[in-house]
Amino acid sequence: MRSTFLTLLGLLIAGSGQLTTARQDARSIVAGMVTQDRDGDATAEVRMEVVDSRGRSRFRTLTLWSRTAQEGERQQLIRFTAPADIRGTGFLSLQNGAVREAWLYLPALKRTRRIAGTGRNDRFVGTDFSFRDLEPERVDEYSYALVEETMLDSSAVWVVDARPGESLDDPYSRRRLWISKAESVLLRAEFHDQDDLVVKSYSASDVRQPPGSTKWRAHVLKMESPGEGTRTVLEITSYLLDTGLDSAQFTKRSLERGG
Amino acid sequence: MNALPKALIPLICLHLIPGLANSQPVLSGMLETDNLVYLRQAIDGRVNARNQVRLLTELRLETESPHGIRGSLEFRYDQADASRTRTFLKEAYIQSQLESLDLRLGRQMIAWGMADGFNPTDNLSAWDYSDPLDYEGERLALNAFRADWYGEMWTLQLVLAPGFEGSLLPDADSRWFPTVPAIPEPPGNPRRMQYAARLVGQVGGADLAVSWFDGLDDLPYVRPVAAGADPATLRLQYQFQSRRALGLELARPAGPFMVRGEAAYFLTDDPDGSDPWVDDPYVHFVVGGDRFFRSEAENSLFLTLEWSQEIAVSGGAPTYRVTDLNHLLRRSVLGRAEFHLGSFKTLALEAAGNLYDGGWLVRPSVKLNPSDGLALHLSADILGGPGDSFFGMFADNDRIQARVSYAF
Repeated sequence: MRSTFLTLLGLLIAGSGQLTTARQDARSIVAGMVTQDRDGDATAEVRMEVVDSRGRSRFRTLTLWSRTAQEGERQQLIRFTAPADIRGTGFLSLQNGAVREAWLYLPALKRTRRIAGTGRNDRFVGTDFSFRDLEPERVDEYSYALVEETMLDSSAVWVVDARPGESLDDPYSRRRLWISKAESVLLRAEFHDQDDLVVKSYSASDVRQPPGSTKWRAHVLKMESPGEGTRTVLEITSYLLDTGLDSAQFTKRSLERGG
Repeated sequence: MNALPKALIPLICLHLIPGLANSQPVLSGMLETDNLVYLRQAIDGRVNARNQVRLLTELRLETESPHGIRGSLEFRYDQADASRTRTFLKEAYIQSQLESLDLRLGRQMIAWGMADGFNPTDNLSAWDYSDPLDYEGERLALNAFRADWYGEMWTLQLVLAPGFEGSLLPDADSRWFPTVPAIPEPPGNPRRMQYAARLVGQVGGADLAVSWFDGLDDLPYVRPVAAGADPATLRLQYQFQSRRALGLELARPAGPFMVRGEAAYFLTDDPDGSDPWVDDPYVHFVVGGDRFFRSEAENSLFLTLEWSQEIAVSGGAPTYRVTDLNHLLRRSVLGRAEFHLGSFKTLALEAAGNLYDGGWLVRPSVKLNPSDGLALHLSADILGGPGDSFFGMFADNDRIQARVSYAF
């Protein structure tokens, strides 16, 4: 009896140990993805398709410059290049501690307009992506659990659940992440609300290395909001990493140059 | 009509500035039809409609070098109102973007101010007031030299404008031509250098600017002058008055709201405020806020509300004429609500109420974007108030407007 008890206890301890290892593995998998995803700066030409709930498409092309400052704060400058009626419109977003400051440049008015700081959960320029979706994963703010290892299309992937810390202002109760083993790239994600329903789903494809870089990047990103019936597809037609953009690129002066 | 010779200046510069001759030209523009009908016929034979076509073309030459050139021409043809037909050079300038200095020379638009509805610190530009309710795209460029110096925390903007040009006023047969007082022919533009400087920066999370303007009012004053040797015989005469303005601007987020404000202290030609034909020195401030709401779905709502007030430094009642467009909002509330139904349809309601004279304006509108670059606008202007207020004076000018524009 005692032997049986010890055996059971041993199994439980062993099981607990395996669970701990799995958690650590999940965290290290995500950390590996974050490391692979990290860059000093990026310049991307993006073709964007936003499809509304009635299936009507709106196309935009834009140039996106982004940079992570030494303090880890994100800087973004977006300039729309098409269609003609919004050409030259610019958007500058600077993270300043917990606050994200934002300015909009409207070429027709020849004026830069300060706008209320965008929250991390706000939509990114009217798309299904939020600013949070486009930020690097903040590993310390979530707990991770490895769900399974499987195949997604032809890629071997880890499937990981990410749950936010209690104090975190995250609209999702959990996210399920599909991370490719070969490139450590997020290939798919599902965003669950408080009722555990999928409210957004993300998929990425065309994973390759931008010219001159050893990092892997998905060049087609798709975000769907099934509840709203909308979706956004970002196709990156040109991608340059770590070209040495400095903070001067992320100023109102730069914002106004395109207009 | 001297626009075309001016347009040649950038072409000459093209061969003088290194790199520009090899630059790739980018042509863009907009074609717009603008039809407007007044709900009540004017009784005195004034123009009762607008059947207008407008073509705006813009040419940009940009290179890898820090130099660039830009020019735009506007052609406007109004079948119903010949006085609005014109061809003019909207912009034509060369620019150099150096290490921490931007230089721009030529005909250019300069827009200052951080408030939304009205900008008392925006004094360099003249406007096309041939239709005073049309304000979109009606800012006029000025011939100027502009230098922007970018420091670590602050930007200093300096403007020298050698040739003053006043705003365009409604023609005598326009429904917006004021009936009181009887006004003589507008004067020519006086030769006068205008100067302006603006320091823009950020303090404590707020965008701030301090500015100084020394120039002329863009609108002429009407005042009586002696008609001849007999000082008792008077006639009315247009005159552009000198004005200087010390400005302050602020824009700061406050939670989900944006707070915006501007104030300008205008020093006029009447320093003690005793000349009834000249603006007393006064302060004009605008303060308000806006907020953007987005629903979980693809719709969004933008609300803005502002208060505009003028305070005469000498105290007492302001003496500005009712028809002086720079003083329409001397104690007014301005509001705008924009409801975006996805990215294809926008409903908007604008309103202005002048608590000083009781005049008011309401403008509901619908904008449709059936495809990229194409926009259909349908709006109405409804005016009212006492007969001696500006909006009340033109209460018969209620109208419906339809515009179709295509950007290319």
